[in-house]
Amino acid sequence: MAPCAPDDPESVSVIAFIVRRLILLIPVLIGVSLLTFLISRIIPADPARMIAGPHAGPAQVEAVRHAYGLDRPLWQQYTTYMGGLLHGDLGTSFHTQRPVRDDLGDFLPATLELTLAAMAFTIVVGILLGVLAATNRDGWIDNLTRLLSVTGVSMPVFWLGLMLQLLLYYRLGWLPAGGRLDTGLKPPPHLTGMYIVDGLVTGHWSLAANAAWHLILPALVLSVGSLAVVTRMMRASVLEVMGRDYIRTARAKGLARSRVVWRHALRNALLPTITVAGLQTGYLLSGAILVEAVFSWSGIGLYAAQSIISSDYNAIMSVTLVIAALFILVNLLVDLLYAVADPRIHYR
Amino acid sequence: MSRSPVQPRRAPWRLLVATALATSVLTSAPDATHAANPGPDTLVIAADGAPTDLDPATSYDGPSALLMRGLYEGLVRMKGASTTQIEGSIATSWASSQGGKVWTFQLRHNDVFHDGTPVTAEAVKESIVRTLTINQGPAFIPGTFVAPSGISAIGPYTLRFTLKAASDVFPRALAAQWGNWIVSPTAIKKYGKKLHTWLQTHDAGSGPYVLSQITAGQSATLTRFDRYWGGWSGHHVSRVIINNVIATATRRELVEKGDADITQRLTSLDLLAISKEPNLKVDRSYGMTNLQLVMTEAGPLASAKARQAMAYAFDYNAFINDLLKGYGRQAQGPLPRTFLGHDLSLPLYKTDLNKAKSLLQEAGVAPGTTMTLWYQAEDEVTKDAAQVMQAQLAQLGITLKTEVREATAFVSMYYGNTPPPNRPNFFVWYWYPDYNDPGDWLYPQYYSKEAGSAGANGGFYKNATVDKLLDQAALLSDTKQRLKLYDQVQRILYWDDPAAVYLADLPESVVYRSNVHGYYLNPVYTATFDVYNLWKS
Amino acid sequence: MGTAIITDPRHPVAAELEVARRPLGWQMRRFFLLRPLNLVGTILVVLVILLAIFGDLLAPYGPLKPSYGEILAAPSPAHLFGTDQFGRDVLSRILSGAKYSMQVAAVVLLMGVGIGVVLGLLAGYVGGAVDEALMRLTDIFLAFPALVLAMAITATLGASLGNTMLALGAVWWPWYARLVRGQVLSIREMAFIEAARAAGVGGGRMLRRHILPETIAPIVVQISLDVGYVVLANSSLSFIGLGAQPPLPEWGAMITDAQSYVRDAWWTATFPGLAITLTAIGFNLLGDGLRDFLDPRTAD
Repeated sequence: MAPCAPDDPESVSVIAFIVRRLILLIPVLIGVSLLTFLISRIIPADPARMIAGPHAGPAQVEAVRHAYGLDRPLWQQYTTYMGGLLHGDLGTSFHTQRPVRDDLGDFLPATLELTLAAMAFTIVVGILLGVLAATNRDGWIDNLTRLLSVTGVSMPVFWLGLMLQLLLYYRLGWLPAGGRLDTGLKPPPHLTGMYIVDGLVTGHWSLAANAAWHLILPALVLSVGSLAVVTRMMRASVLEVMGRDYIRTARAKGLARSRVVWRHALRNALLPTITVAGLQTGYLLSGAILVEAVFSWSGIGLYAAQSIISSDYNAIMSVTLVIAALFILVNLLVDLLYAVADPRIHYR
Repeated sequence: MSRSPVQPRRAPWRLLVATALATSVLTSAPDATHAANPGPDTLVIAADGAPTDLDPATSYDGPSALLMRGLYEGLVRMKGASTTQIEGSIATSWASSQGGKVWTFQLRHNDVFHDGTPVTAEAVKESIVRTLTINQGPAFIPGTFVAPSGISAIGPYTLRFTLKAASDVFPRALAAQWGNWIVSPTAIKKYGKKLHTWLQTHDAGSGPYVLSQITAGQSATLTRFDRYWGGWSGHHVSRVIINNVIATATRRELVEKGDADITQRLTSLDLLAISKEPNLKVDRSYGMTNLQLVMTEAGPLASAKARQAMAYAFDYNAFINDLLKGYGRQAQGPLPRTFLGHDLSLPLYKTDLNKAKSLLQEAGVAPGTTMTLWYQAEDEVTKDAAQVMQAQLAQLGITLKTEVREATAFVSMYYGNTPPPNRPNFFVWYWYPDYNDPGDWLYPQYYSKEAGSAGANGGFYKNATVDKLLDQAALLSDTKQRLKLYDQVQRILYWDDPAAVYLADLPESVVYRSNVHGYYLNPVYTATFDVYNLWKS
Repeated sequence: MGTAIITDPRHPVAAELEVARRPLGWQMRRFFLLRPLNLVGTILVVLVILLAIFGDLLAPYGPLKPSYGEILAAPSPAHLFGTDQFGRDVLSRILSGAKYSMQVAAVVLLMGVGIGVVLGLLAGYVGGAVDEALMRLTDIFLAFPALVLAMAITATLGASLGNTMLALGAVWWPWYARLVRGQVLSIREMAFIEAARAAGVGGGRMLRRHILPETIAPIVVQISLDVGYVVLANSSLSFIGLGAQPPLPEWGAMITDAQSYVRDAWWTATFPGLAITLTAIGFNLLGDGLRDFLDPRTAD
């Protein structure tokens, strides 16, 4: 589907567009699941031996293999998993011995919390900086912003995390090095799985505060890359809007510059920026995994890594599908937002 | 993908999905938190991994054993720091008859599970039968000796085992920290097939502590069980918090700051620095873990001479002194020095490249040969060992390609049936015991029929004499007699027909704060602590 | 703003051809004058490429030579960037390591662009069911967490620089495919293509003489930007342990090693990271500059 002129005879309504994309979601996810399945089974691996341990005898390894259905034909293992998926059963994880669904319930919210915090920071700061840079075009703020933007997307995220950790934890002791809570603190009751939200809702203020304190550094590090992009986008949008005829007319009529900016330019520039920010969310979700590594944030990334190392087939499939689905849905949402907000956009 | 005419700048985040944690990151990324230490009544352990399975019938890894040693009991356990003496835990005494074919255990009368069920002979039997029936992982530890039909409760507190064959190893096997933990029959009856899942978040043991809280992958809390038969007079901690702190740098940080009381598996550089700190103690006792380069008996290493050459080639001094910083000692054969039956009179290999060269010549291995070595990216030590060997072999004109593999691929090759000529020439390999008996240690690794998926003989080692000796030993029921045979086996494995280049015996290197008391190492119990006997001042 | 997708049918192609006909020297001067950061970017890029070629010669010490007496030495006149846990000079390792980053970028982009361009052209020009199928394939590869693929390849074939290149190349093509397809679709709309077709110009010739040249500018821009991103992605994979193996002085792997020692020896991680960052900055600035230069309408 491509954008087209509104009077293009082949254009369809937004609704049809959504429906079509949602329907296409299914074959894509099936494709992802098949690809994942094939790849994870091609790897020379012996999860039965991994579970049974290095000292177990062959009889025990066979018993493990049988208990986990690993001795059944491949196609059957695939259909069993996919069948279970339709009921919401994602299988049992080898390396935690719990239903994968429970594992995801614990680990996914951690990543979401991180991603949302990074997103919030990105949007707020990005919009601000973008506007400043645009209204001071080629001034020192603009050039500084450009430099920071380029630097932001050029730094390895894990390295930035390490450097900040070194400074802010080891040297200055201002922020914790990682984890979601202080050692020994029991998490708040599980509502969403996001500690800050759960803590606030259930009245555990100090837990929420502690969780927030732990969130600062990883969210900051994660946001740097997308902050750079959103800032540039905002700046470009504002400039583009400011260059439009109706703005110039307003200026010519004598409206104060700042009023022009805040009432007209901003409103119109926000849309493309938000869409870019939304797209970045999809990337953030993936990027969070590396940040989780550095800060030992027990999110989906840590879980995915451990699953892959131990050939935890059910976990690998589930994590892959969840990430892929989220990625696609976020992109869809953004396209939707864009299409809904700007009725001139049509697709065919 | 977006159809918006505004194309966002593409970021590498997509590939950063590809960058999840792998072992190297898992072992080195910092992860710490500041928290006031919870007080002298609570012991905080910074563990280097999370438990993967808390069902005693199937669990077979270190971090799980760390928890279960405090939550559960077996019939017997090793006595204190002794590697040979056994004391009763659930049992009070035991005796054998019929030349070691029948073993009768008297149980204590006041032992009770956390759910209130009394620990009777019937209960113990049910638990052991469950383990044997499920027959996964650690089941072979008791299963080698007895079948479910051979277990009978002949009295409320008397349990009799009729073994498959007479053996005096049985009690020692029952003292292992896997496969022997006894689970409450009430739980077995109540949860049936769901017990395995239930046990991941609850415990059904009779040990000194109860599992009061667990957050998967993060932490677990053990709280004192008031009705424990051992009682609580004297010095004990009433709470144990076990935190999963994967990064060594962070574990070190935690013990230094006092946010953790005890930890293990730090790097040798860390240990060196810590040994200078007054608030911390490093326990340098040797466990029963050793490090070896398993050699595949094929290709350039088919002949014993070639493998001897490899043993002469390795630079033990550089490895032990420069890389391990002295936290280890050169191995003296396949068995660790602390192990039962280790022959302390065996001569040690001294690095001698000239001897290696001439041996290789005699073996017909010409300079310019290429060999491969596989190692797992689990820690610095295996990486270092690989690089040392690479440097040494380079001096012999042999190109050693070192290749890293994820655990699952590594294990799949090691325990797989790829024919020897297609296997890597070397595997960097740790080994540690289930229990203190050379049969358990040597048989799975060196008996020729245990090659490939049949056992743990990853080098496809085949020596007729070793086979014969191991067979003979298996038939004997008196350990003293068996040790004589294992003596000969060691010598062959080390000198006459080397199965591996034995690199180092390793200390457990447990680090704890100086206000922690009662720590002792029992080498049989790898990577776990006797938390009941620890206390803080 | 975004890549230069030409969506306006009234786009003055003629004006572009005007610029393109001027001599290269004139173009380069204009490029640098347009914005000073373009010069900065170009300098950084040239520097990295030179290091990739001559790094080994410039290194004061051997990058692989351990020196157990000087473990984790702080930066000093003898060792400007200090030494690592084997006593190896960090500066020498960084200089020697430049070539790995450039090698990976070259191979990955060759694969990615090669596969992407071919598939994109196919999809755009042939259209219909082929187009749909290829776009679904692109969707799948874009949504697919490349981790599984990267680890699969390295688990089967072993972790090494070569296998990382394979893994990255296998997932880098979708963008180019879409880019090219989008270009082809847009250009097909253009009047002059219609005119050419009406005049009887055949498909292959059309592709070569009209469509292909128009798609090159955005590809060049994307490639320049991508070099930075490939370097970052490669270092990320090395960081996890999937890329170059010790003792290879690859920048990402150096940071991994440094993690255990960074609290006492900050230089072991800081300098390799700076090297990666400066490389990526250079290519980003260059790419940005090229984008603005080649299609001024998208300049911000």
